Amino acid sequence: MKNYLLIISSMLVLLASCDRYFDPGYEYLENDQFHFSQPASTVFFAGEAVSDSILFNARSYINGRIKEFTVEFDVISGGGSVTKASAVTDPSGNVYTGWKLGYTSFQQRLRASVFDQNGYYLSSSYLTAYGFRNNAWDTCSFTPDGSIESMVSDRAAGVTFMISGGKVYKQGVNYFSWEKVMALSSYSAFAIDMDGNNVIFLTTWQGEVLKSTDHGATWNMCTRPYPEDPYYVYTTISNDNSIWAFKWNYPTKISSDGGITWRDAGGPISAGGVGDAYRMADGSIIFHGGNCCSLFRSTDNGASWYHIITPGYSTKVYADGLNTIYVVTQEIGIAFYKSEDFGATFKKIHSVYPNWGTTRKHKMFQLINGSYWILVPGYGIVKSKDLVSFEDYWVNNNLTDLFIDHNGVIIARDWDNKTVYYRKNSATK
Amino acid sequence: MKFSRKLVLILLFSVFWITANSQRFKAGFYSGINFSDIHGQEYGGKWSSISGPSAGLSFKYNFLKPFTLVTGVGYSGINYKYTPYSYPYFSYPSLLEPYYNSIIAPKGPYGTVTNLGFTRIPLLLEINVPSNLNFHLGAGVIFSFLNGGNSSHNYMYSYYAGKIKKKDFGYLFSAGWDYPITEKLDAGVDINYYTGRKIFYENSKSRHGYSEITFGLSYKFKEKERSNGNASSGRDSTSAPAFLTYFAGPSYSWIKDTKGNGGYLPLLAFNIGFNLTIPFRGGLSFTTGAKFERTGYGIKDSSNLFYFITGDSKRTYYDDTRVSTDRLVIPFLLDIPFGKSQRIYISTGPLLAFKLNGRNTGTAITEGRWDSNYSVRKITVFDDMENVLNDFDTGWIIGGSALFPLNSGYSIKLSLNYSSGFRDFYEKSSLSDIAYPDGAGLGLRNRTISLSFGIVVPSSKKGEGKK
Repeated sequence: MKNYLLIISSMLVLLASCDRYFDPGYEYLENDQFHFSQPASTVFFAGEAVSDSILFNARSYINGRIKEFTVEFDVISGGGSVTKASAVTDPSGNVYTGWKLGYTSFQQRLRASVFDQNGYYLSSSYLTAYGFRNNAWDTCSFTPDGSIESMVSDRAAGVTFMISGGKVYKQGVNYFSWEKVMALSSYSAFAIDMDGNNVIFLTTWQGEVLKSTDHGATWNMCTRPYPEDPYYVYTTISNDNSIWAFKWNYPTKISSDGGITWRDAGGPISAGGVGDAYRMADGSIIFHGGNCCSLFRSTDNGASWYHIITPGYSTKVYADGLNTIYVVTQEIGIAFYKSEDFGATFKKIHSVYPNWGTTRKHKMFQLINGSYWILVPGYGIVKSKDLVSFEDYWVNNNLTDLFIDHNGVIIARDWDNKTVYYRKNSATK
Repeated sequence: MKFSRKLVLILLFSVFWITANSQRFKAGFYSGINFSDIHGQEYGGKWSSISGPSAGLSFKYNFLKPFTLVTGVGYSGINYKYTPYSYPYFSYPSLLEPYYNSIIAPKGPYGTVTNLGFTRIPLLLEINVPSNLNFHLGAGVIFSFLNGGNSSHNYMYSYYAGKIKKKDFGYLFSAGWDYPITEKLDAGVDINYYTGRKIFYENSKSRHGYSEITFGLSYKFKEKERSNGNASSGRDSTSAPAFLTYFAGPSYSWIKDTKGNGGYLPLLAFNIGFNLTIPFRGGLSFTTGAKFERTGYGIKDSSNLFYFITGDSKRTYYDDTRVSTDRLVIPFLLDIPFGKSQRIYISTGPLLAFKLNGRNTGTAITEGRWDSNYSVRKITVFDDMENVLNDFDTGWIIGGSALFPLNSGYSIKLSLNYSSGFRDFYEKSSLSDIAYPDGAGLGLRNRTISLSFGIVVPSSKKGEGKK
């Protein structure tokens, strides 16, 4: 009998010792969600009010649980201010505050810190807005600004067009607001440029050329310089309003009638690559291709060309419309040379030392209101009034392009192709 | 490791020299239930112990007193159920070998049950310990052959069925009692523990395993009178003055934290087993046996892990967890009488302990803060820790016991033992660098105080068997 008792008692001990193990998993004891309701716009001038009634919502996502939260608002960057620093959520979980931007930074952030009824800190949410400032570089990486590829500014008409992501945009009320040109939305834009008569030319990735003679209000199709090839064409407009078209493995072409007819530039020009051309005061034409040392002059309106030997490894040319030639060479860094005798002699006038070098398809020199703005890729922006003395305007080794809108707002592009830097000086409109 | 187990078996058998059955051959059948216990699994989910049927025929041949050779043929239905963490993107704390070795077979969708049928052929060596209820202890091997299987998600089964090995091999440990119903018929109960030695699913560490309890009847084929004249009754006889003690009781275990991280709590669990005591001259005696005990430790503290306190001031979880391991402990004790009554003994000696499984269970609370969210999650932890615990431990026991004689030669034995493990609780090679920053081990060692209440069963004398 005792043996039975022994077995039974042993088994009972074993059974009693068995733990019950629950299946692995998890459950939420608390699950609170917070968010700002996004305002209509996030870009403003510094000092403007984003809104006087920004909505912030906080609520529990545990079924059936209604919680009351205390929300504290504060500005953590930009130096702005809020109209209400603390509030308790209403039954819908909403609280409101106003936010006015400051001036101390471009990107400005508003923080909402959420506490439970016992004052225990739960989490924080953030709202970001951007305040464009005067006399400061504002780094902008949003769309479409961040990817500006090409720009043209018609100062007489007060319009600026740019290309970003293959689409054409027109500058809006503010210099940082861009509106897509719907009339051109079916085109895949490649580059945009303007001649001395404010006729704007647009080329496409399909090798088309369009022009607008009414400051971008309407657009007309020109003759294709290479109708046999459906791909993009590099173009440049010389100071005599001729359009120069270049395509690898094709002869360089010139249109002197605004893109209606095209003729071969002739001679050795085509081998020089895409470049810049200028009509000199004496009627001759100078041309420099993208390839090294390809400076040519024609005194018979392009019928024949002769080569000008340049110092260093020249890559770009600029002419002032008189009889002075400026060439940009790659030596130790980048050097500017000047020739007043059509290339018989050159004099070095300035040099800088960029972090990296590149072949630019855009013009390096822009004459705006009597000042030259020169973008040296990998170095920054150099400014000169007379091309005799130079000053560093902004040394930024990441710059690769420089645009200036019709009001004189400077827009420099970063080499990452997603960032531009805006600067509006107080003197500009 | 293999050597150690063999050594233990030899030691065990060598001390059981008591004479055994007079019937040399027995045949019988058994039937019972097994509870699956997959080995080699890793954390990140739970393999529930699912019951399955066991049945078969057994043949026992008593070739040399007190040893019996056992074989037969049987069937086992082994069923596995995998329960992973319910949230598929659950961010598991950096634990052991996260995910990279997480192929565990045969798991399918949540709660998949897989049934595998085996024909099995055991080969065991049993030692018989005669008492009023004949006790036997055996160890050996099983060869198994997969007959087929199915799954609650058959499309998953069809996917992994081809990867399951058709043959298996493993160790079987058995303990049981026989009771003579008639002169030729014994009824018996056996408790078996099987641990497979072959990885049964490719690219995994999985090995079969189960615990089993069976009930059976066996017929004794009577032989001619043997020269040693052992009794022909259904009860065994003995020629040695040894006695068995069956015991059970609570155990209180904790971790000696040699690195001083602190915060670990003790674990209250149980122990159960039997001891065989062999008296010597002068009142001294030697005790060995087998004890099944659960040891481990608990955590009620913040940590970046569920099983170990680690992390700087900012910790991810508040753990309320228990790490426990079931193990088989074999003591080798010298009993020294205290006083003249020979009823109080001081015992001391080494121990060997073998891990049977390991797990971490409990809950962990974690707080999450993101820009748009605050959450508090309660995680139900079930992590299989078998792969990361040391397979065996050595240690030392010191304790005392008191005997309270009852009528008919029985006694109550009350024991209190303290055991100290020498080896680290964790197998350091299994832990990742994250959990093991200095590669020197977690420095956790097992300590246990066991209180056991036992019944001392006197061994049978010649001719005392049932007539």
